[in-house]
Amino acid sequence: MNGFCGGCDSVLSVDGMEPMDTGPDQPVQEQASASCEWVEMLFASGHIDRSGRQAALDILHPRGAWQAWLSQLLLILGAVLSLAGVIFFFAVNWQSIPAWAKFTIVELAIAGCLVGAWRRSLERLTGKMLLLSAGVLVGVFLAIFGQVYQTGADSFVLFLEWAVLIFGWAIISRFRAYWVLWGVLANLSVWLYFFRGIDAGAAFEFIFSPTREMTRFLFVDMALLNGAILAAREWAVARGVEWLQPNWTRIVPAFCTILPLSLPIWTLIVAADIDYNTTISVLGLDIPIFAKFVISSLPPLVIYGAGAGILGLGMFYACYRLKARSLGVLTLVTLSVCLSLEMLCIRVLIEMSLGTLPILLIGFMFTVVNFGLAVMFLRKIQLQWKGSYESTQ
Amino acid sequence: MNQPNEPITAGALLDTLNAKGILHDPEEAGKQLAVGSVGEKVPIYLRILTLIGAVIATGFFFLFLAIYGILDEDTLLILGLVFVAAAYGLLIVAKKSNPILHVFVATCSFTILAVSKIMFVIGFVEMFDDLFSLSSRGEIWPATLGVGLATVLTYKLFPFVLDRFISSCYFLGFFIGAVIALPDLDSSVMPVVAAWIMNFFFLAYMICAGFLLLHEKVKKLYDPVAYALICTLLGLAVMQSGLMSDPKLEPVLGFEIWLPNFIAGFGLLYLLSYAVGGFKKQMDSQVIVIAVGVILLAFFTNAGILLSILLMVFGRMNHRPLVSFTGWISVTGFLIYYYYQLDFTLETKSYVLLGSGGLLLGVRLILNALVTRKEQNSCA
Repeated sequence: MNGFCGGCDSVLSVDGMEPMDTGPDQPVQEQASASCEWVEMLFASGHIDRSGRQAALDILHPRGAWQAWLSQLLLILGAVLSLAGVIFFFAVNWQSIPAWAKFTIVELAIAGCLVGAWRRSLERLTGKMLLLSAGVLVGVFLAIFGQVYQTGADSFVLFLEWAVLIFGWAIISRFRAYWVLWGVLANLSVWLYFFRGIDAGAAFEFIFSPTREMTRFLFVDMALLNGAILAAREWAVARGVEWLQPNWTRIVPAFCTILPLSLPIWTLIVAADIDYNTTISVLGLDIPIFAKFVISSLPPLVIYGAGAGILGLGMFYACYRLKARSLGVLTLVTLSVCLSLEMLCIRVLIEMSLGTLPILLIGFMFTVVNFGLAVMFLRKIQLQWKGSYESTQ
Repeated sequence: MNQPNEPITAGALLDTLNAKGILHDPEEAGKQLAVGSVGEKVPIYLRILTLIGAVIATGFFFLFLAIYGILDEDTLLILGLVFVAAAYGLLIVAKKSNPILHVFVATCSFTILAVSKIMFVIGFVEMFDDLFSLSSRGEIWPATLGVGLATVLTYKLFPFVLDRFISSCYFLGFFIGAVIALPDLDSSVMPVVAAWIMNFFFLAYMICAGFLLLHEKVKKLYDPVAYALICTLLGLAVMQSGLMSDPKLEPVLGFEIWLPNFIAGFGLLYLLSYAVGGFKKQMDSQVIVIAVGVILLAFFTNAGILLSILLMVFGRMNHRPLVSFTGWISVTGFLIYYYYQLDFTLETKSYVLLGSGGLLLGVRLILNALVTRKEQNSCA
């Protein structure tokens, strides 16, 4: 590090290294694999300059094959821009073109994409992109169908039909972008089923002012959907499916599952009544306690949702700590727990009528301790895993 | 795309770098790696978790100070400096403390630093706003200077990369706002001046970012400034696109709309040239196709999409997946923005997008055909 803070390390710092706990005379691990982090360390400490850094990274990960990369970039960007153009074009609700022509154009485009995908083969990016284009055009077709025949169907039906119709293609495509599209469509259809539109205000009210009239609980459904996607991903990876290996294919669905699992818990903390100086019965004994949450004041589905949330987070922790080790997912679980504890702390402090100043000061100290402990806990797990990995080598 | 290579050992890497003469003090470098390898890198997840905690803590602490009444207008500047000193003291304590205490103390230091900077800037504005009351937006200059001073004074003192990045973003953004606010808003030349100022900043920030990220003598220390410049450029692209409909930014000689496109386009061309080791070395038909494609794209699309492509190329070239990812996110964002914001008809937008997409696919076809022909010629 530069300046005064040479060697000062923290998770907020540039280097991000833990404080050194060995003497500086320890020899370099000659046989250890070099990594990008090592190169960054040499660059940060001034042992190599920027061109040296580039040279070292090029040794580790040669950046040649620019032509192939550029070709892929042009294909993906070209397809994305063209498809966006097609969607915009039909969003105009082009009155001057007769309905049959609209259908013909889109159906021919879908057929063309499918034939192209078949001819180019799904082993190649071109084939995959053509199949993806066909999937997007199915949505355009459904939108035109709704326009022309004025079906009056709810918007969630469109997205649901779209997701169902392209599901088979998503499976055979073996293409991550296809599954991103499919996941977005499936989530949109669940969301629109409840809200009949993308209305953040309604969603906020739904989370923090739940009513008894609710017949179903949106977030449990979303958690189940994304949890199923995540489970399918883990199942496939365990069976050697390589194209699902990148870590983001785990982190994204995990985030989309953990967030809806957490929201009912936060609802419970924010909306439940609190009884003070009361008792709880344990084995027939009435034990006096300072305060307890009266969850019976909440709609049953919020309580079930919160229960499912706690259970789900526990399962996530167990699975990703013990079975499929993932620090990213554990961090998401920990973040959810930390935020829940923050809300609980503030809620209790407010209920204690302590006044604004003590609440803010205690809130500050609690936050530092809460998140500090969480980071230390996760760091310990990371080092444990590293130790056990190295001991098996 | 690249395939992963056979793993290379640390010793072999050091030897190679040493043989090429680009490793300074090899012995010390070896020790550095040995020491660093003990701790291993803290994953990005934990950094984000710490950042979220620090931001929440900063909010609590600042509100506490504000409600307590300590934030008096006259003493804010001094208090800001006192808090900077306190944050630095905590940082020294963090350096010397054990790993358990280190996390807490470093987080506190970050929190107090953030609060101190806010106090310093507000105090600076309160103290010096009379000196800059030439225009109706007089407060923006002391705010810019305050943010600039706070950033420069603490940049090397504190090792918090996020603080460096956020402070630099604020300074660069405020600076643009301050310069645009200089002329009289009611003046009839204002639209012209604002448009050209933004164009100038677009060019200047792009050159600065390129210099900081590509020049071999620039240290890693300044990477946060470079990324702040890139973020500001993205913001400028949004402003340029969004203000097209504003009468204050009517086209001037037809240039203020298009100029950022060409600046971004030429930036992209330069980066591509840099990535392949210079166009001079590889001056053939493919380069011409790429150059023509980029220039045509500059006519069709907007600067934001070109900047996004630039980020993807830079991320790939410089082995920074996060930058590439930002490029993909921003291209998605600009497409959505394009749909909702730009003052064209939807039909025009669809033609522009179809044209841009078609152009890229066409360039790809020609490039692939040229490569095939080259391979056939070399085989013959």
